[in-house]
Amino acid sequence: MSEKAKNPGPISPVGSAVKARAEAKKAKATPDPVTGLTPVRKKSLWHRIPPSWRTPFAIVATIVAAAWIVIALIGPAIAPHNPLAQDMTPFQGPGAGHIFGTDELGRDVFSRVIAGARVSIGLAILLVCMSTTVGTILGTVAGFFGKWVDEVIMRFTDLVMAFPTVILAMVIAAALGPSLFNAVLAALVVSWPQYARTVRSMVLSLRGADFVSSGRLLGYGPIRSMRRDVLPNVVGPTLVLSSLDIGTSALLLSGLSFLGLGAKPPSPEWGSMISEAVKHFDKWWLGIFPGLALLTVVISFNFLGDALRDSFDPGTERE
Amino acid sequence: MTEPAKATGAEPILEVRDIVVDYPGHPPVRAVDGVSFELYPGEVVGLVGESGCGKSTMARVITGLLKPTKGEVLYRGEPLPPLTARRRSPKYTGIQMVFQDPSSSLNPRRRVGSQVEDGLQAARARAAYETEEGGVAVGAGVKELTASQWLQRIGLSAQAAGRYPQSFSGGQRQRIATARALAARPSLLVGDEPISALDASTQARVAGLMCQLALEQGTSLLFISHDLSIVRLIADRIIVMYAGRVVERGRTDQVWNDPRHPYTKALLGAIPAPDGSGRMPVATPTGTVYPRDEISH
Repeated sequence: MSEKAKNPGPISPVGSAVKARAEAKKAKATPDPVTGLTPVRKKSLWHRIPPSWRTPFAIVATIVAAAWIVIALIGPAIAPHNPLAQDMTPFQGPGAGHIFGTDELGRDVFSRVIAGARVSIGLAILLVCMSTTVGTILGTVAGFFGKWVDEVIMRFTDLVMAFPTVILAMVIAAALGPSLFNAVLAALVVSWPQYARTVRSMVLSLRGADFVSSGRLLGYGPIRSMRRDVLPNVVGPTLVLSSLDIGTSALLLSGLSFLGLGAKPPSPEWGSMISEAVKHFDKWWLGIFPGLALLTVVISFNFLGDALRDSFDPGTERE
Repeated sequence: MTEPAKATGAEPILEVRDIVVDYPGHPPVRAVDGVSFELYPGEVVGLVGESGCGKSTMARVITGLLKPTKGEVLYRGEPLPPLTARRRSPKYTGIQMVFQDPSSSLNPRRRVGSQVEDGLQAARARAAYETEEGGVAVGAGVKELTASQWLQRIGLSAQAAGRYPQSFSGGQRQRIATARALAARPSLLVGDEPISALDASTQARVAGLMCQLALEQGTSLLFISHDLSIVRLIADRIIVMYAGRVVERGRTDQVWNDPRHPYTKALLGAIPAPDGSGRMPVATPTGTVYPRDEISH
């Protein structure tokens, strides 16, 4: 046993430095002799981050999600190979030349996973933006005008929500024909109703709010009232919902591609890569890496959404 | 105290006739049961009564936010159309209201300056409309203030315009809401318990400011409150409501000094006396049912 471990505590120079700093802080926090008030200690940079973002999950999720977004943005620059270039040696296991191995056509799996980030994350974000916009507009109109407008829009959302999401999306994508654009369109049709419903209920409670009434008394028309008084108060919670939805959307789009209803070969997309891997079950590297990519994207964006929700609504915060 | 304008023979700015409001239910709740009164230009009327007596319902009916089950509201001699999803014509933006809850009377997502600016815009829109119609807008001779001037007028700094409502206290917010309503140069301002959520030291100040600013530009004020001791400081006339009906009305000094209706007497008895003895005010006996017929002076 070393000398230091035997005599731990304040004698060590590190310990005394810490103690001195703590005492300096304490000294600063003594009450002011004139006012008798204790000055508020300046928050450290770390403590300025909202508590919901300081949990280990949120930190890891932020790093992972940020990394994926960077990869999606600069993908081609860091990919070691052209994701479409075919090598004469298919089914190489992970190794020095191709760290994730090669697929049945000898394409570099690592480069394809990186290239797939742009497709999967990019389209997921695009889809979420579109369904948020459509859902918010329809939900606001339904909640604000009420009566038959509300009935029509809400029965339509009921209609869409009555079907299982994935199955309805499959039907629509199949009817439209397999392409990435059609897959996004199909996913849009099934994902806007949840926004419409949530926004509608928020608008219903806002519609009776005093500041909305006083705007109407000042002669606001419906459009102005919605734009100025209602929508700004709906945007925050809706954005939280959208951020929670990015992971799910990426999964839905990849699912459609997996079923052959989205991305067409040879374009690199995680879902279609996994579906190709199913044909060669013994070549584990074909499916594992795009699968892991999808998994980390879904989980990290979900935790990010949770943290965002907690910072908007401190009441639901986990300790 | 000024004589009620009724004596001068002026046209009332607002007349409510036999208003009945039923809230749906089994059986329906009759919140207001045949209330009539009128309001003259430049007059301050206090509408008092305990909670649940139908005061706030009356405020919503008068402003058109609520359609009465029966009865009519006449604004400048014409029926006031209830507020629908459509834009309210500038003709009727001369009725403004300050709401009870300071936490929701202003939009939390907009700077207060631009919210006061909305009031100014409404005033401009109505002035343009009334010039077109050949009438004269209320406060036409009064110089138009900017939003920050309005904020200074209610005792805030000009920099307040750039802040959001969250950075103001309840009393400050109610003053800002008053400024916005009055910036629209209304002929009638309805204050629906605007001070009930404020602490005692702020109440008189906000009520007094509201009254003073309204009178300066010739706006009539209908001040709704449960607190007779504040109302008597600003009102020319007092209307006492009980269980959906008017039970007593008269000049403030008459009602204050010589209450006729047993309910008014009970209300006056319930005002705490600041004698320092810590004596509790006389509680209005629970379960007492007062006659609902009006006793006039």
